[in-house]
Amino acid sequence: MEYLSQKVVQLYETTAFAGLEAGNVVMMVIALGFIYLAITKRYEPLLLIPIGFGIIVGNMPTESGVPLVFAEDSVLRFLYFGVEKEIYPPLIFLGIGAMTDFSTMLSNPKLVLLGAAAQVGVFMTYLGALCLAFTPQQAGAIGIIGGADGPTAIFLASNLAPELLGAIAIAAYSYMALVPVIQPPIMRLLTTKHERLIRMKPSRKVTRQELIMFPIVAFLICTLLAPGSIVLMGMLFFGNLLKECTVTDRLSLTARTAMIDIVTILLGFCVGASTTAQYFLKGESILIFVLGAVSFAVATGCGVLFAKVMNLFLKEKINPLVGAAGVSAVPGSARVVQLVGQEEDPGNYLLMHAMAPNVAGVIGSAIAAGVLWSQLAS
Amino acid sequence: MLFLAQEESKRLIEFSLAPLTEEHGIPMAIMGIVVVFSALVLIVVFITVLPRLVAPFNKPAATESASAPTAHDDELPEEVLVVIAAAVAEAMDRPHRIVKIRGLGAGEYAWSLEGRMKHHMSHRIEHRDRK
Repeated sequence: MEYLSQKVVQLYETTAFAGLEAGNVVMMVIALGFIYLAITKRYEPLLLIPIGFGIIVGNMPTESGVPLVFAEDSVLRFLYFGVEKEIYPPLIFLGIGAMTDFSTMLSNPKLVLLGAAAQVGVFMTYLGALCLAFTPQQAGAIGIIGGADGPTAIFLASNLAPELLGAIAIAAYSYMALVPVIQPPIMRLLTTKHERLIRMKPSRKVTRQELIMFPIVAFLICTLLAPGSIVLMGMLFFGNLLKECTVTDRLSLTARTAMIDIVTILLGFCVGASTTAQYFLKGESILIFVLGAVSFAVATGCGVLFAKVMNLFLKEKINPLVGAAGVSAVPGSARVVQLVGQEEDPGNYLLMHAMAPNVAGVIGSAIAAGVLWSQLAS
Repeated sequence: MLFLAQEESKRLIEFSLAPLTEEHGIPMAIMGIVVVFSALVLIVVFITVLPRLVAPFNKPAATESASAPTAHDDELPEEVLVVIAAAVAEAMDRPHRIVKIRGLGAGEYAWSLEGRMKHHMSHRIEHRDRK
């Protein structure tokens, strides 16, 4: 009998149950929540499924006790290299550039300013994080969550605060997924019914020459002012040039389909796998989530309020709801603007107008990241 | 919250306004906002003048298409004359001389003309008393 119980104990010790802690179980439950939301509610499934399953894999106890993404000679360690050395985010930006249509922005230049206004949320949250005793580097990485741009948040966090990377990435992607939940109440609160009913004029047609010249000159403008954004801006505008020049269709197609899909899988899975209980279940993570929500809300509010300020000076009024799309969750926030606008007037189509600040927000958040990086990187 | 380390729990209530006045506080945030706005304002300016910048690229095509009708109005291009002459030679099949070729006016479009001719020919009057 004693022999049998000894063998049972030995068998138990060889299984992963022996190393499984309550924290790991909690993380797995969180991961299941992500997978549930992605499948049933369709909240950013392309991101939440890889992240969710990555969390489950990362929280499975290993023999050495070191998480797989940090263990020497582990395959996941090599894949995580792309996150650690900031390889994946610029590649995702290349794909985003090859997908982005800047024509709505080119046809209505004034809406670009809404993309800048929403970045105020980034810097307000940066100040908030400083007050909560985070270091300036950590505060910068937390603030960029308000930019609502997952790759940018990962890029900056792995540069400035690698110890917070997991929490920041999860927060950024969670809030991107929760755009349809977080933004509408803020948009309704800050606008009147009359403002939400404003109809905007259709945009003008943009020529091919304009679309080709834009990525080249915009890259020069952005990077001359914020050299820290060279990598992200370079890849974004390079991808866009591949699309707009129309002579590199094969490259553009690869960048916006196969390549971005592969990188998204690797990035999501690796970020998930790095989010182990010992690194994630900390007081800091809760603060990061709270600050991320504040950042996102402030960014949305600033965009809407700035649109209202612009209306004081404009002859042709803009619908202030469009300002909420200044956060760069493309195209989620533009879609939310369309839905909230149609609640008041089903015949009002704001989607294409909202895409202008939406893509401007991508540029704005990358510039904000560049500024934070150049000022705070040691 | 069982998993929170004690020193991290303390951080939850740590709050100070002092960092705001330091170099990396409000001054840096203002600088960041100014840089983001400056870059996007420059992009707005660029986008506004962009149609004028690309106008020269569009001009040759526009001039060509604008001037083309003028040339047709005054004088038909040589290629068109050659094509018409060839078509007439094929249709006549005997010695001939083309006296005049001119562009049709609004009321002389070939389809309308052809339709009108067919219509008139279907109502030809026959004079019985001449028999």
